[in-house]
Amino acid sequence: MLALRSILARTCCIILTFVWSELLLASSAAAERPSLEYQVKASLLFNFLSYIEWPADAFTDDSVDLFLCVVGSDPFGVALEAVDGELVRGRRLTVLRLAAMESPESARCNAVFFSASASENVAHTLPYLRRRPVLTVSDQLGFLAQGGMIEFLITDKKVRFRVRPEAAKRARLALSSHLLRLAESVITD
Amino acid sequence: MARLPLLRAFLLSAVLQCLYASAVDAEEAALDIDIAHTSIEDLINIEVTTVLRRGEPYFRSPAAVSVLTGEQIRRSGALTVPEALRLLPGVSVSRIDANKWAVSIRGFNSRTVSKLLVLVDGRSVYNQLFAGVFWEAQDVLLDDVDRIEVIRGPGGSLWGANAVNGVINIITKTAQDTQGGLFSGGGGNEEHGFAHARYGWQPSEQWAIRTYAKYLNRDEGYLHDREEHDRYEIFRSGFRADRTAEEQQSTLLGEFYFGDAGEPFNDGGQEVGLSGGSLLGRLQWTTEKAASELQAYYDYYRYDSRALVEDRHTFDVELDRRWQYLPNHSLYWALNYRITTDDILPGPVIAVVPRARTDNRVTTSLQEEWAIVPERLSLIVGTKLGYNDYTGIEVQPNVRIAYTPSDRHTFWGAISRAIRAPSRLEDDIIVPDTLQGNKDFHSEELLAYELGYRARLWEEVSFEIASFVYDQENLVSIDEGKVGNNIHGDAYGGEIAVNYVPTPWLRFNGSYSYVQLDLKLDPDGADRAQVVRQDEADPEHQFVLQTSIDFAENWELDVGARYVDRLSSRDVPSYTAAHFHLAWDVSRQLQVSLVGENLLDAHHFEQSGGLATQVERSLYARLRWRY
Repeated sequence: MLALRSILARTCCIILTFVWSELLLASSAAAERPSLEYQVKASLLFNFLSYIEWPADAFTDDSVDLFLCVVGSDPFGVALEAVDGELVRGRRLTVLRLAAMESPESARCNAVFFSASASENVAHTLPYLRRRPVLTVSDQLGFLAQGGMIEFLITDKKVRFRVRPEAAKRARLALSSHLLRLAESVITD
Repeated sequence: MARLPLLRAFLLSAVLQCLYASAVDAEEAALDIDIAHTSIEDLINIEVTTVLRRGEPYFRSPAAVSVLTGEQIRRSGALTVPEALRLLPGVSVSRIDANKWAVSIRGFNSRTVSKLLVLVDGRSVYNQLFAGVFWEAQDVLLDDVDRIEVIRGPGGSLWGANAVNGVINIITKTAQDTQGGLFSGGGGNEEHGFAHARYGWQPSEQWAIRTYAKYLNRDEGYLHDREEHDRYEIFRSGFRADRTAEEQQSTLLGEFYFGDAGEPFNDGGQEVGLSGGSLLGRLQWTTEKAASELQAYYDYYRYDSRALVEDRHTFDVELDRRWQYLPNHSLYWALNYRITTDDILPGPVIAVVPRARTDNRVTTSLQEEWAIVPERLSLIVGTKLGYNDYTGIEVQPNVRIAYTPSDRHTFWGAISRAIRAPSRLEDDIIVPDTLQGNKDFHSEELLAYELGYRARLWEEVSFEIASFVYDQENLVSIDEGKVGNNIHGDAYGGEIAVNYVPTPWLRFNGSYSYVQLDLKLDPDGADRAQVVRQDEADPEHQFVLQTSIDFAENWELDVGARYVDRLSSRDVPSYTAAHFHLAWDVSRQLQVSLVGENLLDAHHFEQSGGLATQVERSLYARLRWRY
């Protein structure tokens, strides 16, 4: 009798934990995997790095990593982890996640992506970044108008981007003509 | 002693669970694209918001919801809203003549079909006259439509008055999403000419504005024994301004329209003058735990026919708020007040007495949303509590449950009560010796039982089935010349929709709808004709099939067909209609397209009666230029 009850209890316990763990996992895994939109944006962001030439003084020496910073809450999740450590323009790529540009680590950034949650940060950071050789990208509406270099937008259900070459020029970054050709539009000052 | 094996079992299952968890993690982390090795050229051509993904918020909703996206509307070739609605499951659309439409959901198809709530950007456009929609006067610039959501069934406490058999919610894009210029125009054998123009700009960082205009001129239908009088010409223009700031959004919308819709009158024809305008303001603000909205609008229209001239002013204000007061509990409430005042000039036959009338209506809603298991099991309990000048206080409760065992399946069920409040005509119409309104007319009542299932069987296939049983009381009847409530009865049916996307450039949509009414006369009723008329007003079976193909980089082809069963009570035989849309993107700015409609026969009736004309085969060309 006792044995039967313990078998029953054991079975119930196993079934219950499985059901609950599946429920919990399914929801957490779904949250961790970035949407296709942000996978595409992550891949585009990674691609941009190959089409941009930084001035020599942007790096202290040839062995220094290329730092890509995500400012604000990170929408890319594992999508950017896939390229962390890849070689870009002969340098190892390191992805940094920063709460805001005020963080001291931001001095190392060579490229910055401002996530939607960092919209206030953009307004007072961009003027300060203007003359530093740092690529600035965001999907915030009106990012170019505020002085940003590349802005993602969705057109016809696809991720496209707009470029403002003068902003890059001020920061002494050279954008390849290939990048400009693929842009949805090129905004001139 | 008995505790020990239990503990061991628990530990064992915990270990297994961890192993299982890591396996699931690895599987789930797989990405759709190779982040490091996909070229920019490929990336900018990936559709990131497919219909499937876009529909995701609806996936767990406990109601029969279908969504038509702006892209689907553009590719359907539709030039007016009712034409676009033909693509949706469970919506019965019949063209009465070149300008008049009968649009219904789950029964009672006719020009004066009531029981539907139709919203254009939050503004309700069904009229107070017969609680239905003059579709010839209600239209939008389809190029600027973000989506049309259709809810079949009472929809629940979220939706306002008249949401009995369904809700049609037309939502246009924000001004931020419609920047730049757009011109689209064309013509054909039936579409004598149409032109849409829009220009959007951003005067400041936070504000965006668009203005637009739309013109349509449509040929008459066809009659073999009489002259047709159903010419249609309409112009509308308006604007939308949006201000987006952190946690706060303001919207201002304005529009006016005027046009002529012809119809037969006393052995000749007459032009019915349509005109109107509206102004709407909306403020939305969100905090961490709550989302609130305040909206107010003013609407005016004039329906100028020799049978009757109606002028109506409506002012409507609504405040609503959704508040997450506990982690898994949200409370939604809404408060709506509407005042409408009219002046109805009698014609030679119809009079409405009193000629002018002002009506007040207050609707409140309260709804509790409980996520029993977040994202898996949810329960909604709510009610509408309303007051109107015709029938006083009305209570409309509903309870809904949705169970989503995995991200691929949702089962839902709902029980709701809904009423359709009396319209002005039911109360006050007088047609000497023929028809007399009834001051004691009650609301039409519905008790609806609904069950549904949604599945994303594979990444490529999604499937949806909804079924309903309606118990209806106090339906409108005309007993010996007097408006009454002497019809009752059941309705049942369902809709199946399938969406299959084998590759990004090929999409199939199909749906089947079934509806059956079984109406009966109350013991003191006399209107047997009306019972038959309403009973068989809708096609019992309806199929819609649509295929979309993208080919050769910049070509689009859409081919579709629909089968509509006969309307027994109206002597309209069943018909099959086919259409196509072929478009070529000449450049990123310019698109040219060719659209063919009703291809399978030269002409056919979709409705019968004095107003009806036949729908003819139509072919038109279109040019679409964006800058």
